[in-house]
Amino acid sequence: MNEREPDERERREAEALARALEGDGTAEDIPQDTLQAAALLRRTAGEGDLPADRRRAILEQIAPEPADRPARRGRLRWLVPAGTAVVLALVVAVWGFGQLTSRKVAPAPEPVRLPSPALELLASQARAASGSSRDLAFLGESMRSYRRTLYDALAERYPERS
Amino acid sequence: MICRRTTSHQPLLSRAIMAAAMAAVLAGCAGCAGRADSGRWVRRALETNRLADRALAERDTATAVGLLRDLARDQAPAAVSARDGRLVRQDACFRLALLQLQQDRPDQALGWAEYGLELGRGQDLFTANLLVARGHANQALGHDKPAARDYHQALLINEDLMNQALGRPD
Repeated sequence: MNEREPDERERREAEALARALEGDGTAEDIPQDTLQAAALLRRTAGEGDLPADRRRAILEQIAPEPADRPARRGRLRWLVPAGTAVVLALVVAVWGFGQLTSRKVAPAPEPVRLPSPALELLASQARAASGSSRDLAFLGESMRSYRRTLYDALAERYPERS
Repeated sequence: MICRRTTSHQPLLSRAIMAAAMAAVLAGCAGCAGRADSGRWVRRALETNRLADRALAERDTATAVGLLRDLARDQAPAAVSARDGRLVRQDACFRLALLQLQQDRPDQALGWAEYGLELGRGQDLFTANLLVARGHANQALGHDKPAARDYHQALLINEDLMNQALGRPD
């Protein structure tokens, strides 16, 4: 490094800056730009820092929006899925409720028109009601054909859906 | 702070909403399934009777009783009319009572006849059949008066059905 020696003027200014940094800003020989530089250096060095509560108050006053923004963004982030869920739940609930009420409101299913029992079957039933075991067994056998007819009618009334 | 506290409730609330939605979906599906099942239930009842007949032809009474017992206890879907569901189950009860009487188990026969009559009554062949079966069970147990009462009630229904079959006014 080939640094030249400071001249007289520079040396005077350096001394003035040193005095200004020590807080002596009253000296008349200190130039204005030197005073400003000293004030800036003192501020960045920590002297003259604002008290914490004052700093917060100023920050709220001058920048309320940035401070409030994260909270609002948080609320919005929650509202999107929650709103979707609410809409979906409402749609499904209305549909489900409709299913349930339609079953309540819908008339009870009509019973099948029973096939008329043959006279022979009725006669065997009357005989079984006399207390004879053999007639009871015969009634059981006579029911076979009527049962087939009944199930045919039921299958027609309640068709099996694939 | 407030913001963080609010977000901690979000998953809970969302889960509650989704649970309610799922419950509504399941309720709706159950309703649809009930309607679709009616035809299947009828076919299964018919098939059960066929299998019981086949078991009896092979002298396998235990299998026949097991099949008919399941049918008697199987409640019909909501889409099947209450009367039709009752008839199918009462017919199974009648068959079970007959089988128990043939096996000399009148107390079991009485139980099945009672069970069938508790499902409901009507002026029809199936109610009359159960009254006849209960009369036989009571008779076998020495309960003469209840047996006579059962036979009488069965004959009243039988007469009504006979009049209808002959086209005569009641």
